[in-house]
Amino acid sequence: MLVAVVIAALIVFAGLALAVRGAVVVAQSRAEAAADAAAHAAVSYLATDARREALSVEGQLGQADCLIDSTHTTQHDDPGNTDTARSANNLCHDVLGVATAASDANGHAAIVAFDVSPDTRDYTSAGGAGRLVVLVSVQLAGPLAPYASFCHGISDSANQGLCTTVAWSAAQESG
Amino acid sequence: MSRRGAGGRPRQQGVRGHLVRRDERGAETLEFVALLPVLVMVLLIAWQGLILLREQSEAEDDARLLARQAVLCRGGQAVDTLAAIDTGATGGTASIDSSRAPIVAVKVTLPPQSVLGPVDLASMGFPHPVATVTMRREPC
Repeated sequence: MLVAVVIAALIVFAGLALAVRGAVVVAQSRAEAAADAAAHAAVSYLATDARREALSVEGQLGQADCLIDSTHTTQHDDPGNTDTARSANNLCHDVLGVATAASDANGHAAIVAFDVSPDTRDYTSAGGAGRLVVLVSVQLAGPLAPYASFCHGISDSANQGLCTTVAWSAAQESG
Repeated sequence: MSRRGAGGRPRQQGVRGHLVRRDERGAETLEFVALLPVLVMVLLIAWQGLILLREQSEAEDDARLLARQAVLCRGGQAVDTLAAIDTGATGGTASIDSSRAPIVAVKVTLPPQSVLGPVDLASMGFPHPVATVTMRREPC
């Protein structure tokens, strides 16, 4: 009897462990899809917006940052002194909104880092417009997220996938 | 006064003690045999769950791949079929919803595979692994 109970317990425990591992893999796939969707949506939006040249030029000149992450925001709240800087700043806001909507539409993933910057290969001494690169990191709730007590205090990065799943993606304008 | 062997355990005393131990072993075997179907059932459920999770992961990857194809400017080239991008997705379906342009939603549904081979879980109302990926179509 004892042997049977031990075997049953082992099977149940192993099954639960594998199920959690499988759920982590599924959450990771979903997070990667959300990151892809957000990065691609941002680049698609930039391609159709007339202000993109302003963002590219201002970015190359160091006058505009379109960088947001979980620790700080360097997106300019100050609209800037020139029309070009204001356009770049407004576009940054709009692109972030589009990326956030795309991320949210894919499993309610949240954007934790977002960066639109000029492609360094297109830098010109004259400060002309070039291609833009978008980098996005998203975060999704992991399989153990509903059980907050399990997630409290987990600092080991190897186990954080149980509570949160993070994925990143990048996209670049064609041209 | 009973005689004790090594470790203080009582030695088997004659035919009667031997029969008692055989009876206990027989009872344990019977209990184990009775529990065996439960163990097998637990094992099958765990295995089935893993298969469904693997399928869910496959559906997510397939939907992401098809969505990327659907939103890219590919010079009029049609989006691949589900079977073309995932040869293992037999019986699965993929639908592309472009009605909310420029948003494109791709939904992939795979038939639930059974751990017992020929058993058709779909006809038994088993939930299908479904994945939906939404992307924004790039301008052409």
